[in-house]
Amino acid sequence: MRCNTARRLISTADDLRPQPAAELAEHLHECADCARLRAELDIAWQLIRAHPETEPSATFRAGLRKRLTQEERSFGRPWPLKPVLGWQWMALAAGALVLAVLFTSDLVVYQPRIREVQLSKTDNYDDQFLDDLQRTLRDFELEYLPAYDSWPVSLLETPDRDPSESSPQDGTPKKGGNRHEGA
Amino acid sequence: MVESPMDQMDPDAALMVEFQNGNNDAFEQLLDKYDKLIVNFIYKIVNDRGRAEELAQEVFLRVYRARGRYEPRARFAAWIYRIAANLSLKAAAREGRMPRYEPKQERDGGGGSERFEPSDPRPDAENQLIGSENAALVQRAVQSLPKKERIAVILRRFENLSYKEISVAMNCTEAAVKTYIHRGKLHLKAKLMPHHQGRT
Repeated sequence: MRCNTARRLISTADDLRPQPAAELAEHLHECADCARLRAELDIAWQLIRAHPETEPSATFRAGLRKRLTQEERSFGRPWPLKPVLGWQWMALAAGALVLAVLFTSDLVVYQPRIREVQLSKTDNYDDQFLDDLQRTLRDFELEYLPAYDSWPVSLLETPDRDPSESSPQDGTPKKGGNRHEGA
Repeated sequence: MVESPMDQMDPDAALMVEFQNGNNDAFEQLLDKYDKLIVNFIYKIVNDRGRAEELAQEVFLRVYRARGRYEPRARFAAWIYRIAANLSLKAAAREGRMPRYEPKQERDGGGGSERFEPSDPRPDAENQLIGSENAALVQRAVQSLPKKERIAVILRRFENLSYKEISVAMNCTEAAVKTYIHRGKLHLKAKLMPHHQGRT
């Protein structure tokens, strides 16, 4: 066994298996440096036994019983006063609030909406009246207004037309001719 | 005679199971057995008697609260020391530092002149270290250890836990525990041997 291996195993030699333990013992028998290191570690290990000890004070049990009683009471309550979560609870609540505001923002922020206008009974009568009026005017125009040709007769006549067919009084309006559009 | 599983169970774990089943006397027995051990264990870590008692109360409160979900998978001692070690480390981290022992002599500039005084004619080193000065030296040496080495050394040297139980208590591997103890021993040797050799 080499010194490096031996020095690594020295501190926990009490937990070694028989084979490595025998090899370590053989090395320590042959190597004075490693044997001295082991002796010093053993002494230091013994020395720390002098660490001061303490006794629980008289109030230790009383304080513990008081805290246990408080624990019992809080377990008995349907809703413990102490929050289950600390700052995480607040962070969760703040996050939920932000989400709620985002999802309901159209309720919070005023947005005017275009409403569909409902027609009243009077409005319906007015529409009917206007329709009737328009129909009456159209019928009147068709029945009673004469149709005029705005074009002069000379322009309407074709060159191969017999001049005797034409009326001697040009420009006289003829009833039943082409109607003037939009009159 | 047929052995039941409870016959092979650690007696303290059996008490905890009894407490789990509603026997409050079992908790009292555990308290009687462990209150001094836990106070002393935490005292060696935090080096403050009042704080050690406060944290020890918290340890027993946690045992009390955990009665419903306790499973006797390891020795009860490993479990309760694990709670105590975690609480001590958290308390130390919350306070920003692990308290260090500062003897008056060192503050006054008188450090380095301390020697282990023989109080017993027998050559056994352990028997020679019963004086208060020696205890202060040891306390200072233990407090100077890094926190994980300190916990491993205390659990091994003072509480007699096995390497396996220490690994359960510290939530690490046995190899890591052996490394902590080896380094701790080297640190202690460096701190204590000069004083010991000065005496011899």
